[in-house]
Amino acid sequence: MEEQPDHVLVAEVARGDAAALRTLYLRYERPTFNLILRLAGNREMAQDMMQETFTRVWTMAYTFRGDRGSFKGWLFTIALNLTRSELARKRHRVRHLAEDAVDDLVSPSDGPDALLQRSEASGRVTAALAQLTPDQREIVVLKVYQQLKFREIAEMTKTPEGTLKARFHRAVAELRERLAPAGSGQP
Amino acid sequence: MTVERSEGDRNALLALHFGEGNARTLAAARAHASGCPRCQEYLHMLSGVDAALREWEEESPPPELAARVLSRATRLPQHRTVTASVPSAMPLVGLLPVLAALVVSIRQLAGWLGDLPFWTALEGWPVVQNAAPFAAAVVVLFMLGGLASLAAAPALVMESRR
Repeated sequence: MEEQPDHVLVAEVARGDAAALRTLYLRYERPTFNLILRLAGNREMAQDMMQETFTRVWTMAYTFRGDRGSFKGWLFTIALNLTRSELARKRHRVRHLAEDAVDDLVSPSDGPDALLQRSEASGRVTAALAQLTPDQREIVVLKVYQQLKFREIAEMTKTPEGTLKARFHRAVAELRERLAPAGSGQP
Repeated sequence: MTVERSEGDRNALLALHFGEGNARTLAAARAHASGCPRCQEYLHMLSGVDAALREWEEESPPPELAARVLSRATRLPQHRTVTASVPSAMPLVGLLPVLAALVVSIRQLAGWLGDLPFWTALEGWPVVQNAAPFAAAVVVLFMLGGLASLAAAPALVMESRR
């Protein structure tokens, strides 16, 4: 069966079709979850924000306008704004992420060796990202992990592209130092 | 070691690294970078940081999350746009009798105030002498309205707290 495009599904969600919401959810669950997880650095908060994000999609679907951008961009903007607000509300700024947040990032279904290796790798990256300012972390997550274009990020965040590029450049310069293996000058 | 660059160079190299921009611009940036050690160093740094960041692989959401999120979300009522059934100017029609009553009250009160003897002091300014009773009537009505609002305030506050 041919996949229905996003904008058709959102229109059905706006008419109260829960099955359409389920289809959209399954289509975007993983990227949205990872976006929030990398912004928040905490699996529990990522789950809460997934709830808030898709509740907003359900209740506000009628406001989506396909001619103004993609559903993915709209969804990510909701997730980004909700996560920003929650981080600000909890004074849970990324630069002050708890050390034990790394433990929350490991799936209990992995074996012990995989867990150790994975937690070391992701822990190093999480710690480095946690040292960035929230704005820098946002641009890195959206650019590197979500692979959005600067133009798309500029639309989502209502920030000029030049500002985003300068911010990304500064973030990369900081990450370069923090992600460099001990004894080497390179990441 | 830091890699300082001009904004234009930096943006061109970011575009090259991420493959953003038109083919001609990217080809020009690539051609320049291939012969420029500083640009190569910057591109190498970008690739290194990019690769290091990707060590944090995508995580799977908990399997039960979908059912929980969807069940809670769809329990809520959806917001709807409300289409106004009455043209927006229509409520103003209801104000017409109030405005008419206000005008009549001002005229009546100004008539009574105009009979008072102290307006003779304004004989040198006939325009002011004619307008003054109306102005005084507006002020008196305004004050009466204020007093009435104050008198009704406790009852309105009690009503709003119910």
